[in-house]
Amino acid sequence: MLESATSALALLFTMEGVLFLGIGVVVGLLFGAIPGLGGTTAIALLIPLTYGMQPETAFTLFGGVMGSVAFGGSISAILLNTPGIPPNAATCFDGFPMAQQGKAGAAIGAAATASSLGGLIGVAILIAVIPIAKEIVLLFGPPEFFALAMLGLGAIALSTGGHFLRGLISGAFGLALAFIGFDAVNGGTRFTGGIEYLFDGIQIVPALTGLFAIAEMINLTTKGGIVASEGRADVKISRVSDGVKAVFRNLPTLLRGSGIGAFIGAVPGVGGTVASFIAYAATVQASKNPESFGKGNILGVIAPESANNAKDGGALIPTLAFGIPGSAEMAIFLGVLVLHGLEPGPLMLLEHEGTVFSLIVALALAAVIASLIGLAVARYLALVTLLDVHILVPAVVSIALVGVFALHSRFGDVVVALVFGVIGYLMMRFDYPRITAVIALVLGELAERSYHQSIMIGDGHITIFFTRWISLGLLLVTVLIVLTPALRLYLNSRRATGVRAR
Amino acid sequence: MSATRSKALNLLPPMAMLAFSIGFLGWAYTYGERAQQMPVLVGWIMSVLCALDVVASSRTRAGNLVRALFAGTRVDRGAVKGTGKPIARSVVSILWPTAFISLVAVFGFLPVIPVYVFLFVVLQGRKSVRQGLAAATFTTALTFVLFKLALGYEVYQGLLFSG
Repeated sequence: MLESATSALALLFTMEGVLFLGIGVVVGLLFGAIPGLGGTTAIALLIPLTYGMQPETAFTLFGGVMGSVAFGGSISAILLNTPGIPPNAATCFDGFPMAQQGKAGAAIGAAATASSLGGLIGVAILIAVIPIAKEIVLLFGPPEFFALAMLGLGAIALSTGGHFLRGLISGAFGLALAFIGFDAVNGGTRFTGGIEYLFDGIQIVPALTGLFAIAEMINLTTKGGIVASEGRADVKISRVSDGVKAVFRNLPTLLRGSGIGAFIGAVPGVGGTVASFIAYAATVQASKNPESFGKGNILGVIAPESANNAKDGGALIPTLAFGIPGSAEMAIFLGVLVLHGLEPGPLMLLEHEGTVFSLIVALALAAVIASLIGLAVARYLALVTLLDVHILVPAVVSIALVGVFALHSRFGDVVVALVFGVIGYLMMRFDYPRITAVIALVLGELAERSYHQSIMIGDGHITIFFTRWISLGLLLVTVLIVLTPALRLYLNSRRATGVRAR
Repeated sequence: MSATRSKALNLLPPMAMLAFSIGFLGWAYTYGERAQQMPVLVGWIMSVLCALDVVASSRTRAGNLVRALFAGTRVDRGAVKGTGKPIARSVVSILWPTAFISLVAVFGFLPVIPVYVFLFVVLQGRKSVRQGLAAATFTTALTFVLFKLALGYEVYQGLLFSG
């Protein structure tokens, strides 16, 4: 393990490594700061550029993006009260009041330091967990992988707020799309309608580019105006060091936020927004002065920002170890791994340890470098959010589609990106969560293959899923997840009846 | 917007998804026994969920119950989010990339990008011709330098120029 980490570090400190890490950080900061774009769009746009690269170099680039998006988003949250990405919403509560009180520099300094340290703590937790994860994945066979895929889909659908039913429908829709093309288990093709392009199935990169980049651009065109809803051009940044010092004076807040972030990040579907809000709530509860929150308490910036960056380390655990992405960003990242000839899952940890470590090291360094660059350019970065969408949209659409074509030189990919762009926009408009569709699209093949392999192992009997304790446990948890809202309703009704009776 | 029209608009997306799921299910049954197993399972699950969604989107007592069961709390959801947005604006927003790709299919990326960017900025964004020209030049130059010169990728030349 140490050898892999050392060689990853050596690779990163080459001219090429530093260059791509830097590019990733700058792109991540920009896309993080611009509301509506975020890391998912950034990764989707960058995928085609990495096609000819070594996997390690590509991961350096993506590590840079993932490590910096959260801090980019905090800058617009603090200066403009507009979270760059949803997890930064918790930072607005105290970050923006600080900016209004003339303490924007301290808030950004605290966010930068908490982000970078949170990222490092998340990575440290990931490194600590990898040896254990390796042992655990060896216990997994096809029935467990099938059950895990179902659990991932259920958990992600449940995490879509009040859209659980539509989250499940989106998941089923994504699985349906995953069946298109050559059927590796049974031979022959399915659902292609005789269209030769579809024989290879829906290509993941054009589909993801469409669902995220193109759909967001269609949405921005519909909204019009500038990117940030509450634009303020008069951003002043001073006394950054006060914020940096505040983080070191409040280490328990940092450690609590990072721990919560890493833990929640590892649970598929829960994601950064929940992590940062729980970290914020925990800090308010632990505070002796809870009424100061929401009025510019610096701890209200430190807690969510540390959780926000630490969650990436946690989210990589199920993604790399089991091939189960915990978020849309990680689903796209799975697509990147496949594009570079790596199959996420148990073999990834066992056979490509070096590659895994380059990603981890890139992620750790990106968090630190992003904070340093971010501090230098924060004022200008915030102004990006005042960009008119009518300038941004045609540029992003053009670059995204040229990139999609460049991957395999097939015009069909461009058409798929457009079709998925329209589907993604309609899903946004009518409240069908895209994340479950994406994750199902990515997991579809794994789920079907594992299902058929399990049935073969079980001599044609479905009971195989219920006679192995890990798969049984995972399926029971899945059933519990699906029943959670109904159970919650039942308990609430009983409580209400009890109150009325009293 | 009248209440009847609002109700109809609420039902439109779940009905469309239900139609898709039934179509998918029917198609799945046309494959061999093993090849249809998972698609049929998914098709049935999707159809049932979509039917429930249709019920949930109807503002009836049954709809309220289904919504409550899946939300975990008693809810009184109004119109489906987004149905209040002008449809014409959404159609125009979708037509822009569609027109762009249609032109690219014939003429290729590099000649079409400046035209698309310029027209989008000037017509859709109502910006000045100068801003349109600047945005078009910047985007085309960036695409050319990034993909053609720096990465050496092939940039689609279109049916007309690809020979």
